[in-house]
Amino acid sequence: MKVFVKIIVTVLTGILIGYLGIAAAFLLEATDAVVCNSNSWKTLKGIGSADANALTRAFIAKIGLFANSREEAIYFLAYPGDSGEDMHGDRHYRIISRKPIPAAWWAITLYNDKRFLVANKENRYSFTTFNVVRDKDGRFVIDIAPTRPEGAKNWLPAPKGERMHVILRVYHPAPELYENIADYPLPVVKEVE
Amino acid sequence: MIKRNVVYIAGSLFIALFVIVYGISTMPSRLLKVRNEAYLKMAGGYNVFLHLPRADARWDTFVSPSPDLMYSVLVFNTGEHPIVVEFPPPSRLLGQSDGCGQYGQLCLYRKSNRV
Repeated sequence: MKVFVKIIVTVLTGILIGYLGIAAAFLLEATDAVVCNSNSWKTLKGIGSADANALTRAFIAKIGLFANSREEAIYFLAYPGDSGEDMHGDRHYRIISRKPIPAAWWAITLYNDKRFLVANKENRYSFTTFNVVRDKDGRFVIDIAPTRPEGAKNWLPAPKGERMHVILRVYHPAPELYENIADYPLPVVKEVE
Repeated sequence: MIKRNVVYIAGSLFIALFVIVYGISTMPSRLLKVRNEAYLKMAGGYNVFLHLPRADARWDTFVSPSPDLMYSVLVFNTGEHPIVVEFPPPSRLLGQSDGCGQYGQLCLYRKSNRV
């Protein structure tokens, strides 16, 4: 009986260590594979590539549908500031463009904590190359907040009381972007105090 | 006694190694299998294009959908014979009046990898 219990404990301990090992591998891979831009966006190396390893594939399969290669599309996740914290729907964030995004088209989309679109009266889920309101100089500002900020030209309604996620999709990016992902001046994402 | 404990510890580590290697190497294909089965059910079988509606707040087919894209999924099987994939232009799926663009792409993926 004692031996039987020890065997069960051995197996369960092995499985537990195995799962912890998988979690650790994900963490190491996620840290190693991330490219940061402007202290605002993160993207994964190797995403959509035939060379992507199993961890990258698993990560992408968990957070979205099949990914494209870098030459076709780049997906950036917003992580404003130094802390690397997730964004929260109770706060007010501002996305401020600096230079035109060199691509066939782009879209900035807001998701709730479950990574689905946020229900709102305006049915406004994203802004794109084609519908964002720009200033005379071609720049744009997108406000993400639970209520429309005064004077906001582009407002994405945030989900109150929960975390949220913002994805910048850039389709057919120009080489100046996909060859320089870390340093190209993409829009900055800032929390508004 | 010590010898026996070493055997148990080695056993645990061997099982842990197996769980890590098996878990990571099969995770993408296991996740895709679940998805593909759902798509097959929605489409009605292999080699049938599933043209999904435009995503909105009610959408729950897959996470992080783009509301600015139309998604079509085809789970195909060339095991018995080759297939020809015909993809209608986006304007035919939505109608020109819905203002859809001309941008479209067709990507092939295998079970766990992009081809």
